[in-house]
Amino acid sequence: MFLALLLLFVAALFAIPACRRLGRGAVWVLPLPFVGVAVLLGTRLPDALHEEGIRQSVPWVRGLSLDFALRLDGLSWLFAMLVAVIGALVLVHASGYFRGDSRLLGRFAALTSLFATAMLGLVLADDLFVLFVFWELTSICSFLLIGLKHEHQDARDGALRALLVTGGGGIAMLIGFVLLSQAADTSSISVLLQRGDLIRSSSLYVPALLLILAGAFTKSAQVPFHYWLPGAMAAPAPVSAYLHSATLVNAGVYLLARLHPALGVRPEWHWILGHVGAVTMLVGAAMAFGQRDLKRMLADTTIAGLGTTVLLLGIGTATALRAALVFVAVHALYKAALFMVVGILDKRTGLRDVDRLRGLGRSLPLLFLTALVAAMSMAGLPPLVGAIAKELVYEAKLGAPEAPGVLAAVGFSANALMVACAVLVGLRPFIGRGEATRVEPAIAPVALLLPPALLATTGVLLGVVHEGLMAPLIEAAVRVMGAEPATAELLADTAPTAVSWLAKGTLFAGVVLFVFRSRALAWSGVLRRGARRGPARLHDGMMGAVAAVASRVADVSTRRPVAASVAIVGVAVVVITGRALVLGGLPPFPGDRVPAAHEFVLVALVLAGAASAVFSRTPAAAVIALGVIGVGTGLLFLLLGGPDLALTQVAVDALAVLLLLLVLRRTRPVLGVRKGWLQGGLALAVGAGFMLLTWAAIPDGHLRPVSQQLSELSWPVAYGRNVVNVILVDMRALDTLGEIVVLTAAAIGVVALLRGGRQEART
Amino acid sequence: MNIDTSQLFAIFGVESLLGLLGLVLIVTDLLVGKGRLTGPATAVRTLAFGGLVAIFAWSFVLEPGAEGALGTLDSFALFFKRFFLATAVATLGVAAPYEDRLSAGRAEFPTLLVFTTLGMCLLSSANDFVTLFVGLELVTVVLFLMAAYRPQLPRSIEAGIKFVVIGALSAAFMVYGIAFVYGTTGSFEFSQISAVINAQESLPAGLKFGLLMVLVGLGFKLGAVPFHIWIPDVYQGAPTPTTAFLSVGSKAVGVVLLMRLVYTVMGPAAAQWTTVLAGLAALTLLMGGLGAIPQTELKRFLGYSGISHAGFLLVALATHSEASAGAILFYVVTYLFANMAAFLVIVIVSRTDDDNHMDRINGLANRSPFLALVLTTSMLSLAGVPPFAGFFAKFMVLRAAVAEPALVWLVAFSLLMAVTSLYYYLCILKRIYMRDAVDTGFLEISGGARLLLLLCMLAVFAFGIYQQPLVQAAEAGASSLFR
Repeated sequence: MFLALLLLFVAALFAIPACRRLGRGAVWVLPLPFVGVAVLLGTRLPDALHEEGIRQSVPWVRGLSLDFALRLDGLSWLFAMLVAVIGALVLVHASGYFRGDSRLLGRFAALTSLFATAMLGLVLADDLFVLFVFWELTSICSFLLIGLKHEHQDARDGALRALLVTGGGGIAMLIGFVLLSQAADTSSISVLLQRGDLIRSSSLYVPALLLILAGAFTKSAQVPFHYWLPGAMAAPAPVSAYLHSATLVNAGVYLLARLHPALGVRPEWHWILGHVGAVTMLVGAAMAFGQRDLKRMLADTTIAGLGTTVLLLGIGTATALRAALVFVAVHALYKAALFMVVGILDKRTGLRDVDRLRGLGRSLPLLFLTALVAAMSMAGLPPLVGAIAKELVYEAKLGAPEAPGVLAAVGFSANALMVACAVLVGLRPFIGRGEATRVEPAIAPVALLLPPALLATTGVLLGVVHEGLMAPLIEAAVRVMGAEPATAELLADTAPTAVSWLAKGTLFAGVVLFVFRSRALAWSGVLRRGARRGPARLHDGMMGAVAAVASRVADVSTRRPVAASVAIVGVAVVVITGRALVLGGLPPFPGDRVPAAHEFVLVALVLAGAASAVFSRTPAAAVIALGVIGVGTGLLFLLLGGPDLALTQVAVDALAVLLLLLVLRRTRPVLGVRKGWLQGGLALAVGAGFMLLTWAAIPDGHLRPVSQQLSELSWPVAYGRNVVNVILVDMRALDTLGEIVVLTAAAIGVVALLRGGRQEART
Repeated sequence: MNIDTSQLFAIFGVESLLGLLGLVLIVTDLLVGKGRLTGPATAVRTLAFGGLVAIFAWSFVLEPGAEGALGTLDSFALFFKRFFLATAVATLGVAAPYEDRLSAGRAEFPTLLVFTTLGMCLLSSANDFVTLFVGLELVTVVLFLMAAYRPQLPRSIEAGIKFVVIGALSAAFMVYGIAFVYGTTGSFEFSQISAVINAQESLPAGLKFGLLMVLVGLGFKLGAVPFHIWIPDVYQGAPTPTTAFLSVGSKAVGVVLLMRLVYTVMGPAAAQWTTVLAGLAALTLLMGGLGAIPQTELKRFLGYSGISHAGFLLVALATHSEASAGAILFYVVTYLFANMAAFLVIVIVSRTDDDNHMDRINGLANRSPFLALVLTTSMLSLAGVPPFAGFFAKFMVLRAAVAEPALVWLVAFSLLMAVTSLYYYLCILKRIYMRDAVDTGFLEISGGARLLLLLCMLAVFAFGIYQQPLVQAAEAGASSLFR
């Protein structure tokens, strides 16, 4: 299995050079890795169907006890095979579709191979986190694939929306995985599946389930997240044929099927999956029926198909699980074929409008045949495999433990709509006369037509010999999902009469709907528009709201004058430290010593300096006022018994004032700080806050008289009387060395800046 | 005081060599081609590059273990010394294509870079508040100058001044705090302070105050809200190589010192800080997550993105465990590669006129698929999307945080913000792939730049798939903090 992953990954690396080198011959080479994977899977089939299948693992991150583990069993085999087979066909198709543009084809092939690697990894993963990694990788690849060719703004928004929805859902799923792995005490899927009871009894079950469902539902386009899929129809047709029929959108379904033994069976599972699936099925079918754009119609029927599958998984009986798997395979076959057909139509006529395409059957007979067969499978006409799927689905719904009648009715309506859509896609564009649609004269290349034809033929083949080809695989897969099928055959020889009547009725109702399409559309216009547009509107509205809030938030730190920033920082510091300190209550004011009169005078001097610094009109005056503060503080130090400290303080301050004055002489800045009540109040508040904090912090008796110890040491250790100097050049000489380095570096920088300024003056 | 020089060299070997390199660069500048602009610049740049690479290589010969009064060379310090050296080398790479936009001071730029790196390396070894402050001064003062490096541009001057004022303010808070710590414990040394802290039931108010003030000062370096306030303007105004260096180096300085402060100085007592750190983390995530959305300038955008990453680092810091410490080390390395690649792309796309509007990357996929690929990788890694390294970094942080029941709300919130930030990174991808180019000029990518971009991209990719070696190094570094 590692080999399969490696094969596709290497194919991704070499696709671009291969296309450049081989030109048109690339069609023979590009699908080879996919064929290789399919062959590999084929040879491993017997082992895979046996019991729990094949498991392989290598340690990934030892420190986190993560293993890169893979598992191939019936369930993953089915999905992996779809990835490989449809991938190979899509690449053949694409080399016809992108003919003449080997650059585009190269990029498409590279991205498709990379996507296939991710998708294959996803379905083979045997570890939640490995699965997640591949899961997100599929989202990114799909974004890049949609972006290959883009036309309108609309399309770009669609692509972004698609990635945002699926990516966001993925992150939710990741939390779900973390919770699940905590509940089960393992992230290995194989182990986890055996600990279903443990998981279901855990208190983490509900949050984990909801988060994982968010991931699965976003990826598999369930209501209300379905809106991204029609938006993704901006992608080129081969992309849709691959991603939006059989692979990407099936990831969510696969995840639900995979985790069914661990998460299933609790009532929450049935309830959510049942309701979401049923609503999605109906909404998708109704949306599809109202579409004029054929490609979007197919996207909408995909939504309906995914809803059907989720509903079946929600029912959860052995019959329902079996029906779900058969339906997934059948749906992949006909939907990929139809996407390709619509792509060819679009390419040949430039149209995708079902109301304008007419009478193409005569000029494109082979395409007509292909489309017709695929559409018959979609409608569920025997002897195609679609008919089997439909009967199985009806059987499962009728056999549901709860509300079988409602389910059958909902299914009937949705299926009738699907039949009508099948007629619209497979028959309508090819018959009738109407205004002749212009067809480009060139004959469709074989590469373009062969893949959908093959897919359609497979549908016929499986329909005839389904028991031999499909039954063992489906049975093994259902067993892996924790259910025991009652019979080995897919279809009982004598289907219950209700089922066969329902199937026949659906066909009839579908044809009736097709005939009275315009009338039916007129009736249901509002409803369909709501379903199609509503959630997308909501999405855009939400994003708009987020953007509005965001620009408010960004304003807080954008283009503020420096003073405002200082105020914000000051307030924050007071709040943070104040919370920790003042909550415990302030200590009493240290009252053992009454300050002397001259101390009051000095304090008043400092305050006066501060006030005049604030209110002075010129920068120079403000700087001098700052000097007054410095001198006042220095004098206070002197009086409190620190002559050396006072000396240093005054010296540094004088120097700073001089330097600032020199700078001011040359630059003449303007004082730009506003002096309003708010500013003054904030400044006072921060100042007062700091005073309180200092008061709260100092007097709790822990202060040690370091100064005394230092002055005692200063003579015996360094023979110096100026304690500040002794500290600088002796006790902490290395730190002074560091300071000198700072000065040196600063000097170099200043020189560079000055040179830059002078250069500017010269030019 | 007696100083054992050989022991000193054992601890500060990297710093000594960097200092020497700095001096050599000054002398080279003076000796080679007097007065001309390009001659000395080329010589100095080549020499600086060679020297830094050599010292980086030599740092792998060093064995952790030396410890002294002023610093320590544990594996944590060594990890970060290598990190800072790599950052400096990458910054030189970002600066190379930028250089011809400088009208003067081309030779001094690498010299200044070497001196800041010296400061950063010193900081990663600091086990003493004085060493810490001296190193911080060296880093900050030089960065002020590097931010205002193009005095002819008003924006650059504005950036410098804003940076100086707010930087000085926060440094002042910090010194004030250090004074209180010293006053209440009688020591500058981390180990002794830690002993005092953990000997008591509840911390005395003075010590609490002092430590919180130090935290504030470091929050400024890290870019934690509300001390992030300088980031958008300074990132935008500074020359792009400086911004690149600020975004990685300066942030990592905050990380190193906060980790020492929280894990070593506070030790078990750091549990008291969970609320403060978690609160800061939430605010920072919110600002980073939302603030980036309306940005239209690339460097400003990356500034906000950096704030958001600071938020994730704070989440890890609030989680007081060895696993989270290891996650932080892993995180910063992934951030280094992704960010440097992004900044180099910015330098290249704004080649002539230094205009960094987001329009510049429109349609990049068609103009240069290589640059588009690099930028995509980098953005996806920053967004935390697998299989890129950034995803794994976030994963490790959150996995460690989930284990702490008190932080579950924070984990949920940070994931919400991760989705938000996914949105803006995707908007960048949309510009790359789905917009038509505004500027269709030829993008010249020198061989060196190509190599650096390739290296960063491969690292982001490789560490996303095979994390083992980096996880191991990160764990070794982290565990030395807890001894």
